[in-house]
Amino acid sequence: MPENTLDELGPVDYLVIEFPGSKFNGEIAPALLDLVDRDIVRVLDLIMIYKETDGSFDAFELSDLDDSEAGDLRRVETDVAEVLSADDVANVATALEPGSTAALLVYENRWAAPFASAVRHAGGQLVASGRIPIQSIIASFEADLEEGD
Amino acid sequence: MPMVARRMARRSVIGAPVARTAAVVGTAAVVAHGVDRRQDRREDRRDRR
Repeated sequence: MPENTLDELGPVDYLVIEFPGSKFNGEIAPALLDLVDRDIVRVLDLIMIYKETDGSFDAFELSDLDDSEAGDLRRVETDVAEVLSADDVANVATALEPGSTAALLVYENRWAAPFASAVRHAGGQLVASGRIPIQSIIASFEADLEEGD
Repeated sequence: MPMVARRMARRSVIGAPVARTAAVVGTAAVVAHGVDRRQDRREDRRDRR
């Protein structure tokens, strides 16, 4: 990986973005590249998965896509660290709807690295982290509303 | 599967199974409600004092 050491690496997440019944065409590129340009995220890996209606799938590297598919995403290619394995791709493919196209994206949360560094320097340590499902937040607020009735 | 050969022997980082998440989109209204709730709690505390 270029420049950053593991010590400076922010939390790494993955996203699977499915495009039901349609072909990915790089339209999400500007929004993603905006985050990259602002150093909020760094793309560590990106693979496209095409799942056939019979359940079989094909996976393609960013470098394999033509310009109509990749669009400006090709700009992030130099940072790609190929962290995903073939098993990862197969596991993600099982979750996809047949006949869909998906982008499997691995990214570093660059915004978190300086904060984590500050926490360490202050003597703090990370005890837990996680993602709260939006459904849980909505359910919590709805329960509040019901109590208020 | 035209992935680069290096990925074939690589250790999995995501693991299995990969579960689909419900396609729920949070809106600013959800957060606004939370802000209201916090304000209500603050007023409750003030009343108790």
